[in-house]
Amino acid sequence: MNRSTGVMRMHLRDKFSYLILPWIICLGSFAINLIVGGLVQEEKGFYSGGIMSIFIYMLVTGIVVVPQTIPFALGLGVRRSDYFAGTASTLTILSFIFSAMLTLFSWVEATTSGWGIKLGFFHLPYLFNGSHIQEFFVFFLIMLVMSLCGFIIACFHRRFGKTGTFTMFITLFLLGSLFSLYMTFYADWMAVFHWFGDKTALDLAVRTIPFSIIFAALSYLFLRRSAV
Amino acid sequence: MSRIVEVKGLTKVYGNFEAVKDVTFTLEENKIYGLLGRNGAGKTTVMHMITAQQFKTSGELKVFGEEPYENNRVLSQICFIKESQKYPDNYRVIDVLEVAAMFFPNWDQAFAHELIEEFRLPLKRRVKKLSRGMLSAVGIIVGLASRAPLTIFDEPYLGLDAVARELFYKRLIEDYAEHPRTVVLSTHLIDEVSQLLEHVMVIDQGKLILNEDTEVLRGRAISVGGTTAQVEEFMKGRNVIHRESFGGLLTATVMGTGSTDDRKQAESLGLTIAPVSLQQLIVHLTGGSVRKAGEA
Repeated sequence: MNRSTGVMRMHLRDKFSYLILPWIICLGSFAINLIVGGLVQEEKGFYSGGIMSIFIYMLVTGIVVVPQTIPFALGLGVRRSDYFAGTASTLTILSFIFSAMLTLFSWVEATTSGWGIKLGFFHLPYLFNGSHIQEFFVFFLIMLVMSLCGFIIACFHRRFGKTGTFTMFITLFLLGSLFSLYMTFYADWMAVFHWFGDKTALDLAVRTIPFSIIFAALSYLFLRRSAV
Repeated sequence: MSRIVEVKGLTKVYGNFEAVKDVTFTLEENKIYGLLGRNGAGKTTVMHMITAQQFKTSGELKVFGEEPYENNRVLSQICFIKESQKYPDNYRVIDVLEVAAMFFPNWDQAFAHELIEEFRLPLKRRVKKLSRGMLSAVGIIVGLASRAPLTIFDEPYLGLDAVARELFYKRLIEDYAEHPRTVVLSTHLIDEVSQLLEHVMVIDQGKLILNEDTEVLRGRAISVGGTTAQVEEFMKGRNVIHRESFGGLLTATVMGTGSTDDRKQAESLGLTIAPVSLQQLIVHLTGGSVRKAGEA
């Protein structure tokens, strides 16, 4: 049997963590919004950011999956490259399925005019932008880049340990501060905001693709040199 | 006989600490090896390198004739069970078995379930909630049922009771007879496994200090008993690793070549000769003279 498929099946055996818990969190947030929406009965309707929970969950999944499973996988004689392929595929498939479900919920929300109470939880005008297909790709690409971002953090930690990870975050923080200082004194923040403001959600989502690719490639390189 | 593992000048350095120093040995097909040594001697590091879980600093390493790193032909033939093995938090015993079945080509699921019964493991319980002994049993079951051509057990029975340990030895030897393979056992309980081991390697402070067939090793020392005067006479000029007196009687363990000359002299002095336990020998060889054999 193909050993990277084996890695995927190894991940998905833990159905609760990967399939059930994210929806308990997301739908839990949805239920609360539904109750609040029903009580408030806002005339113009209201929007919630609760959908973010599932994106954050995928970021966390990307981080947690590695320390949870790599000692076990390598202990069973799995190659690092098979572990990488299996794990990256699992994250991609989960992002795909979750995005499809979010799109489906969005469609229901749109057709029931916000579950009868004008609630905007899944169906957000900026993300939707006219078509469900577009909306699906926005969900999928953002979820994918977030889970791979978690994955690269975990792989970096695996490779360079606590000290290395700490140093990396300090360095990133310093670079960010320098950039911010530079922008404030020598350039125009407004230009940046305008640049983002002009783009549709899909425009921005498509621009995450190179990041996803780079995150995945670097994760692989880190994993190749990591020991148990 | 074909060589399963060939290690030449293998060295592992952590910072400025040399965990494994210039170790050279070979493992042959279908034999049971004992890899012995005190805590922190470097046994686990050697095994981690053989299974490509750790990187060597220098030296040559061939497993089934190839480099093991990222090599499925090699890795699918090895099963390495270690005391410190971690399992995913939400995994139950059954999940461990099902996943292991996917990665070991010779896996025998029926045998695994038979062992589960014998070790009385709760299939549906989360691995995280198992007692230390039960956790060790999970590893042992995976190791046995994998039937991997190279099976390595590193301190497999922490917390396991005597009954379960006996069961492990029994099942290991039975299954080994039916499905011969190369087995490496690393343990502190030397006397318990000494009947199983065909070949013994001892690592001390990162160096391989002994690499010998068990039979040859046993012949290297003898234990003699008799009156104090007689035994003292025999001990003259000999390397005594252990002595125990009881009233006017004395028993001494003497290192030597175990040659027939030695035996003849002992017999002529009217001493009784007995074989020496492997554990005593190892304790002596690893410089454990301060410690008593029983504490090893």
